Amino acid sequence: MSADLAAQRVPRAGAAASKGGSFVRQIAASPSGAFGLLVAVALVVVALFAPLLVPHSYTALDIEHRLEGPTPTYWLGTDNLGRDLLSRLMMGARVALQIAAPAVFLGVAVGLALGLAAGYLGGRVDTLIVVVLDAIQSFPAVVLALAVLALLGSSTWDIVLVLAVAFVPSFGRVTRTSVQAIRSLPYVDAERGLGAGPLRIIGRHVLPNVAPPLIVLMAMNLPAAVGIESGLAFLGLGVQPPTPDWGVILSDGFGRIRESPWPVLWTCAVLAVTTLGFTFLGERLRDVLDVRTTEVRS
Amino acid sequence: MLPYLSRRIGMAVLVLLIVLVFLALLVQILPGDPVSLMLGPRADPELIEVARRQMDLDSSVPAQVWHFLTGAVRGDLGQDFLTKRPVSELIAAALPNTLILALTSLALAVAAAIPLAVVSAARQGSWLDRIVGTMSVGIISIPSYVIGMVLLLLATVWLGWLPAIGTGSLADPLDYLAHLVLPALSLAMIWAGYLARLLRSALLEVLGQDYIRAARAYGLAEWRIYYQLALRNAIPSVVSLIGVALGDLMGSAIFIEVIFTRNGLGTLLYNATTQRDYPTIRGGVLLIATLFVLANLLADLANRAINPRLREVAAR
Amino acid sequence: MRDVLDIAGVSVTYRVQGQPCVALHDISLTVLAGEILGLVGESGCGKSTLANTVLRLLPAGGEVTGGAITVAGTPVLTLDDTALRRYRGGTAAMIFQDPFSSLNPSFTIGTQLGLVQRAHGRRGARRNDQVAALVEVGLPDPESVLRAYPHHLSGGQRQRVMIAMALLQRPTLLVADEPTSALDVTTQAQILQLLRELRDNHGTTILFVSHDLGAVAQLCDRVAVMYAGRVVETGPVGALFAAPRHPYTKALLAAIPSWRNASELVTIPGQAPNLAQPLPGCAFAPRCEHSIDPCTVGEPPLVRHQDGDVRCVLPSATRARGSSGGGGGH
Repeated sequence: MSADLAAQRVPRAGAAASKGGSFVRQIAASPSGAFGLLVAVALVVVALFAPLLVPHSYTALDIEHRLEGPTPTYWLGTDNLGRDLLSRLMMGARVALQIAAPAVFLGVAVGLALGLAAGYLGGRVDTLIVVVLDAIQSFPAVVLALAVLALLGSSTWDIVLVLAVAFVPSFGRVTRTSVQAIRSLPYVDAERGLGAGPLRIIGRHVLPNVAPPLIVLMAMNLPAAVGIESGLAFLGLGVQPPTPDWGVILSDGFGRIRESPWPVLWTCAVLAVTTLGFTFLGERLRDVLDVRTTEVRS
Repeated sequence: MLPYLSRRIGMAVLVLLIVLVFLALLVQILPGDPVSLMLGPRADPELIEVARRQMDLDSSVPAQVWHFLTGAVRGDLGQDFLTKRPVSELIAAALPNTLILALTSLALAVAAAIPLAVVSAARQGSWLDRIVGTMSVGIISIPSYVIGMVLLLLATVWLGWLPAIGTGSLADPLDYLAHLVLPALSLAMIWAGYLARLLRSALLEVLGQDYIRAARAYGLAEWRIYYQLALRNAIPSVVSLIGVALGDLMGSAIFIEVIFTRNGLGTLLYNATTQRDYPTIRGGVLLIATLFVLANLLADLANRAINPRLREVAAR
Repeated sequence: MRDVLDIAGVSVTYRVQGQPCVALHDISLTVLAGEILGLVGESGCGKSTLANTVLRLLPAGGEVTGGAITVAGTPVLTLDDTALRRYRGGTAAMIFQDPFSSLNPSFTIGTQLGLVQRAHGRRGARRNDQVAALVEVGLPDPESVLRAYPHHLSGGQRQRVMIAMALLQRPTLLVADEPTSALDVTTQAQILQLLRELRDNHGTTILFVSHDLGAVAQLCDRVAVMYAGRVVETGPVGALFAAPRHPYTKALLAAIPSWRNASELVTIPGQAPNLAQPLPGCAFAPRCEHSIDPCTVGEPPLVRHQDGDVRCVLPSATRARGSSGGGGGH
């Protein structure tokens, strides 16, 4: 367990990975893993097929029935303009994923590149990259995003960019550590002695080794992305109304919280389930992939 | 000790410098004119000119950073664009509330985490241990504003126990405290479980050590072994995380302050960003960054102070 | 002379990954007041387990499944928590093999001594007692030792500190679990000397657990030899080393490298037994070069002699010492 302390890993009692069985079955073997998997699948399905699944149009106003609780017509109730909450929340899943997924992927891409460069080239390049990563990381992501969006504007692309930048350090460090560890392995040295170029080494040794911790980190950073993005929308930055972003729905609902708690309640529930689910999935992935890394929560 | 200290401080200063440069750069590369964004599209061009000069936007980026730094050292952080009041004044008014919130939350979190961790470690593998474990991982991944919102609903809208909005004034401590409870609780909840879990890990490792067995052999009481001996050796592993927690709390404090309508750095920054008030944004972001960096630095130093062996390694 | 330590029929089982593993099998031993008893055997024979059981310090998974232990009249195995805490460090105390890991690295020696004193109800004049204890164990500058952290001290100093800590309450019984194994030869000799002085000056009874036969020969009055969780032979140290009765004792002594016979390294063939899967009969039989059929049928009975016991069915074990019973060690 001492190595795990350095990795700031939080082990859960009773979370032993099972041997055998397919990968998915292993993940689903623990209750939290199954929950996470379910949430992830549900989110992706809803995000992809929302326009087909929504019971009402997410823009249709029904002022007469605004701020009502759950009814047979509107299963989760309505918001301050009489729009169906269920439909808006479902579309919100789409918005959330449209921002969070690219942000995480971009973060991985850049982080991987920087980590490879730092770990492989070493020397001053390494020092420079580490300093920059440290600088970005020693900053609450929210504040960073706040400042940037306030000054730069709130297009979707800006948000994705800011989030990606916030995630680059964690991916970069994990990659760098992996590269450093593998570079010094005896059999890698031997391959180098036989003439293997850096690309080959990276492809054959580094990438397979760095993939598991990166995957786990991606699963952990996705809920963070959703959380930050919704939070920014709640504050009026990021996604703007009337786009049915969860943060926007929350903000609208917050303004009328005394008249109807339902918008706030349902949105909080959806956000909680999403973030919990992906985090549990990430934890379970980490157990199954038996990952020991130096990750720092972004 | 000294070389290490100077290195860490140097790093911290570097980070802050980068932040300043970054912000200045940001304004420069804005599409369109930053000042027109602030003043509106139909603003008088002369006004724009005056405003630009006032905010030093015509100088080059390095010059801007230099001017700002020299001013900052004297306590001048620029002038709030809308109210024309010195940014430093606005920050000085808002900062104490935020600090009190952050420190109170952290104290609550730690106070809850310690007994949770001890009980979890003592009853390792039990249902209590597992529940605490799952919950702690879960809660920290939920956005802070969600937790704040839920608490707000619970305590004020439904149960009416505590005042919902405002800060109260320090002159009336009881009122201030009543306004502090919910926000502090929201933030504390997030971190208590996670800290407890980490402390539990450290405790378990310590409890397996020989000196714990020896302590039992000398007849020391169990509670003393846990709370005085084991904890003392387990805390260093967690102290550095407390620094991270403090920094993160300040980020989350923005949301909590807005939700509970508290005066503080978060609300100040939030209002400034909705109005695109560059000087205040710059001052606020810089201050939060400074606090964040300071918190981490202090945590690192505290870690070294607590562990007597590290103290001597650093001295060499 | 009365018994200070009386172990009667004690058995201890460990649960290792669900499998029960008999670590101690029906152990019976007595140590008289002021006596130093050596407990020897290979690694894994159960001597440390026995030492831990006397202080009830078995790790999780270990359980006493039978027998009784009495120390100076106190029934150890049935003590409640409060009485147990008074017993540990009070009536009986233990010192450990690795003095470094057995001292808390985050507290000064003075603080740790103080904690032990407070645990046993002492309040005033604590520092004087601490200084006296350190002086008694031969530490020349007690004041600075009290202020020091464990990592400031040498191995020998740390071991002395541990002994001082154990002696603060003047225990009747001192259990020493390989106290010299982690020390260099010179320091070993000093610690052994210290232990002997404790017995001579204060009448402390000592249970000395070791795999170092030389140290045992130097220090102890009597010896008990253990194998696979059983006591196979006991006797006065001189007589037992000169004329061992049990084949295992003989083999153990024969395996001591001798400068006289430098060309030959004698070992005991075979491997230590698997305690999770015990075989019927004598545990040593598979490796014993004298084993006969009766050895594999049931546990060998305890044969009592005037100066010691043996667990063996061989005729050599039942004879008195001095008559031809196989050459002893070197």
